[in-house]
Amino acid sequence: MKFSLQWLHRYVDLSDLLNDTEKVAELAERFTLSVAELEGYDQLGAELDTVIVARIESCEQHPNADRLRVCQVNDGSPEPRTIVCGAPNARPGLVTALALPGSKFNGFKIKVSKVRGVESCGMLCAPDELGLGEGHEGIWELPSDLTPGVKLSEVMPVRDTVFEVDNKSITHRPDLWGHYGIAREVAGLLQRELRPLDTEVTLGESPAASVNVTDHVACPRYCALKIEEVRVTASPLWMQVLLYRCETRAINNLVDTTNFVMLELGQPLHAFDAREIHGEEITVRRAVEGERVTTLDRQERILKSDDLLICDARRPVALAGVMGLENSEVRDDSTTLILEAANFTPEVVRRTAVRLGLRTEASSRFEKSLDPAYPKLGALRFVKLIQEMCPEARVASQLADSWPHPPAAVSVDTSVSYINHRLGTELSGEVVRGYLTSVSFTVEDLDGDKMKVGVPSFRATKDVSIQEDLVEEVGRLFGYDNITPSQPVVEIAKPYRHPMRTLQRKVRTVLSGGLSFFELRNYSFDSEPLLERIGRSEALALELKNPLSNEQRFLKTSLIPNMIAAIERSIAHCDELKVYEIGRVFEALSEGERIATPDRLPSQPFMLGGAIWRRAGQGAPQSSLAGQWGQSDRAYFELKGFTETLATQLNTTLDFKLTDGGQPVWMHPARCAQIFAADGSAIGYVGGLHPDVIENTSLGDYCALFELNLEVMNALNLSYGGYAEISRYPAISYDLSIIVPEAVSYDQLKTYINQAHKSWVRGVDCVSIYRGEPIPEGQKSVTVKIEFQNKSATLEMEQVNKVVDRLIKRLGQEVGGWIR
Amino acid sequence: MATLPVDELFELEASALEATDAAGELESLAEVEREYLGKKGSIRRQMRRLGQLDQSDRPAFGKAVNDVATRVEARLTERRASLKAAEREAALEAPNFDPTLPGITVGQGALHPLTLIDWRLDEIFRSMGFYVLDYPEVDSEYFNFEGLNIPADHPARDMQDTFWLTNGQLLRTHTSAGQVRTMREFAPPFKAIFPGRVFRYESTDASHDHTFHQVEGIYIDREVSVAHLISSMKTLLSEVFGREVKVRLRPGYFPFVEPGFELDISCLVCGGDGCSVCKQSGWVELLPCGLIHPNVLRAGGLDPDEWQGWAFGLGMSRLVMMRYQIEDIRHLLGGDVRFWSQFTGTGLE
Ligand SMILES: [Zn+2]
Repeated sequence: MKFSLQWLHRYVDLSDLLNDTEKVAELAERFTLSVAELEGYDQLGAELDTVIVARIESCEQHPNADRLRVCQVNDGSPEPRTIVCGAPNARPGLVTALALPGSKFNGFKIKVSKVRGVESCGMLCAPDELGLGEGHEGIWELPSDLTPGVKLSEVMPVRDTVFEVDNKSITHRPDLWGHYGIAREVAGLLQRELRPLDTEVTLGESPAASVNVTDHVACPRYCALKIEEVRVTASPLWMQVLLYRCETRAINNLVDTTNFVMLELGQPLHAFDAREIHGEEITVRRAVEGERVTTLDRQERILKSDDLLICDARRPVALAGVMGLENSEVRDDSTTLILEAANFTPEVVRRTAVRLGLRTEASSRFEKSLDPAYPKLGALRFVKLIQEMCPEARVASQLADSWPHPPAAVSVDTSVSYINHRLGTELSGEVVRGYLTSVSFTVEDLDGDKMKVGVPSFRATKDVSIQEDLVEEVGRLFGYDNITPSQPVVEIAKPYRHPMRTLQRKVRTVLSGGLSFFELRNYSFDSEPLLERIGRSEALALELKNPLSNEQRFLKTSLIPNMIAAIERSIAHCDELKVYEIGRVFEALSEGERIATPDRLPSQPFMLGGAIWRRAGQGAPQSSLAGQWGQSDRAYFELKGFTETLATQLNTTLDFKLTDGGQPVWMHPARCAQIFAADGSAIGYVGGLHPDVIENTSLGDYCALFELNLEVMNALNLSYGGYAEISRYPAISYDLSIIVPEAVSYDQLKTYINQAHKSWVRGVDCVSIYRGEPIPEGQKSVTVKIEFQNKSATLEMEQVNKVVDRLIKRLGQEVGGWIR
Repeated sequence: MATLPVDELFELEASALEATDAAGELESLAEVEREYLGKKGSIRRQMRRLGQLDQSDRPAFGKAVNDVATRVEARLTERRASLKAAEREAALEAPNFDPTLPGITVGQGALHPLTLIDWRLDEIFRSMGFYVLDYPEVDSEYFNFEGLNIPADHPARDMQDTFWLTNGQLLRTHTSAGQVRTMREFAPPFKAIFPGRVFRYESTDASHDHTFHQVEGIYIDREVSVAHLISSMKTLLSEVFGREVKVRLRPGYFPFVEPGFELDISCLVCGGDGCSVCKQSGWVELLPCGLIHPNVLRAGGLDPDEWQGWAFGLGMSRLVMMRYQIEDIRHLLGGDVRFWSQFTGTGLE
């Protein structure tokens, strides 16, 4: 919201600030530190000192230009001044604004100059050229009673400072949505007197129109007045300029005065043309579901039953707190008005305004919980101002005022010591009471410490109700800068480590540090076009009610799709990529769960996703097993190796089993393993890309992905497994080639080997796999290196041979294994 | 005394010495040694002729053979030494070796810059006795709004445009959503921070994103004052920025604190003298904070007459951008390898 220094000056004497840049800067800083945030301020009009009132005495066609005229102008001096002017409305008798030669504004300088051969000694100006009003249809048409030669600044507030306050910072301060409230704060800050508002008016004798409010919760107070013999004219110049500077267009005295009172007090008013108001009773009621009305902006609105309407005897005439209706708008020939000044409940106005997308100056003020004392004050202010510009106007009636339940005065019990405790200050009672009374609180001193603080009605609607609020009042007026910082005395707390954060830190250390992965982070939404390309998980996704775009309306159920997109974005810039992300994924509860436990949050586990990609397998590591692998296999095994190392570094193990078909849709159905944690829980998948993904993306063959559930990992015991004493006895390394049917996995074989002797088998490694002559079709020869060691004695070869013989015999019996 | 049959011997010696001198490397030298001085070598074989000689000539011939063997041996030793020296000389050279060629690497990994800042905050705050926690991203209206003294229809809800889910829950708009959860989870007194991802329904540009990161700080104790808040924030922020900063509080409105503040820090660019970054004011707006509203304490199950607290919310994405001079916030969650690969280091300085 904008506010003007000249406007404030009407209520508190700021004459020493009006032309003093430094004092203005000081005030702006104090306001920011003690009241609310200023976005900034503009000092305006200082350059208009050489603009005066002038009257055109005669107008002649310019000899050399069709569109120009040569005017003789009375500038207050005996000699007429010649001005060349192109404005269509330049005419004899017109009083207007004249910028004298030497004036500089709007980035140009007025000089005595020849215009097409005729010397022009100044420029006649339009209001927008001077930054004092709207309209560029022609030069300014000023009131004809102004004296030529006087400075413009003597007939209107030309020089001003306009401040812009950050609306967010006054959301809780309904009193600051008008100049008078701001002036109250400024008066408090500068220790100056705040002048009372002049509301001395004479009301009429006739009974007020009756007001029938059917819902006092939605409309706590409704005031109405009938005003007669009003003449619609232009507002006085000072009002036009002040409104313009506060970004409100001047229209006519009726509209301008309602706006002026709103910007003065914060209280919105509405004027109806009495000719359009039927009957003698105004009714405030809820709308009927589906009821249609046309608002002042000529839009038809379909209402709901919680919208509130103002109605005459026949029909609705205003959408309460939001906007009047077209049918009863004041017009240029209106002479009798019904003035509405009411208080509506914020929630009601807000709901209607938000639903209709109709946030008006009025609605945004009602939303802030306005002072219910203001409607009457606003109505009387309106009358006072209208009578100043239109003395024949008179109030025909008494004030209709429906206010059945005025709120009780609010007071807060507190104490000087409490306020000092919360601020960390040692202010005296006198000082504390001084600050509170400077912004209109009343203070009843009970015993020098305890006090009863009366909250003024304009602060009592929502803003101030508890002791903490008074702490803020005293603190801000004292100046938080003046508080001496002090360290709290703190007990030694028991340390706490968040297990999930600790696990994530370990994972990141291993992957980014040891294993050279890049950590990336992606958005939490899935992209529909991407899912079209790579497939859609079966998980039940959470849907946004108000997505930013329809393409991103679901929360992601896996880290992988966005990771694929991130890799696609990257592969133009690298030849190989190892990436991972730690983040939450989201899965909706089933309908049944949701009904049974409505407060339960959906599952949102932390996952670890990872991927490896190489351009055509470039630089893939060597392995004795790799000879027979294609690119996709190699990618799978390279990535699997990383997950195994990660598990080792986390002090756990992972089991990889051929997937049974439950793998994610983007993974290859056969080149994929389901991963199980050390406690047997399913924890994730690792796999190559599905052929469809290879076809529909730019990733190519050498790419593999994994995703692990970190919540499952976090449930495991990840403590260090323990140190094993280094054996003094030599180990025996034994190479063995076993021929087994294809269906026997390496993992199975390894299990048999490990079981061959409980304590002597120290390690097993796969050396090579061979298929082909002379191995029969459907079988493979697996060469393994087994390390045997006895921790307490030297192992003899015969002992090892016996173990191996038993192993081969068992393999033969159980899986059809044999050796050549 | 008959003439000793030494001609052959001396010829052998001459050829042995010649072969020794001719050997260009240690291996051929060893060959020469074997050929002449080995058990079956030609010089050794001369000894066999002793039997054919007179008894009296034998010692002299034997001595002659030994002398030859000794001389050849000496020459071999000498030659061996010089060849070894030459070989070492050669080993000390590495022709065409360019130590500036790139090393063979396993590649370089990197943490995300948000992680780097997260870890740094984690270290600072934990060393000061704060818990570092984590709370859900999909949350209920209660924890994001109502529990924080922001009832339905409260104008403050406009300040944070919300992503709503079709099930009535929401994506948290601020990490403050964890405040009430913390109070319910931990027995006071305690202090905690909780960093994390938050969401706002708003259009994006280089300095705004619909998803960004914040860190919430909360402190609960029996006696908490504005003076404590100022002092604590000064200490904490000086650590975060790695240099002494001044802080200043201004009134700010947030329904979950009372009094509520906007906290400014002295401009890090000009140190407070005024520059274009701080619009000549010397101050930069950094974070909202305040004393926790009694309604929020109550929602957390704490008696406001017994327990008080302060809280702050710091824009972590903004901190990352300030620290690394990142020009576009959207790189943080939408970047590519050119972004991810830049952030080396451990976050612990
Ligand atoms: Zn600066």
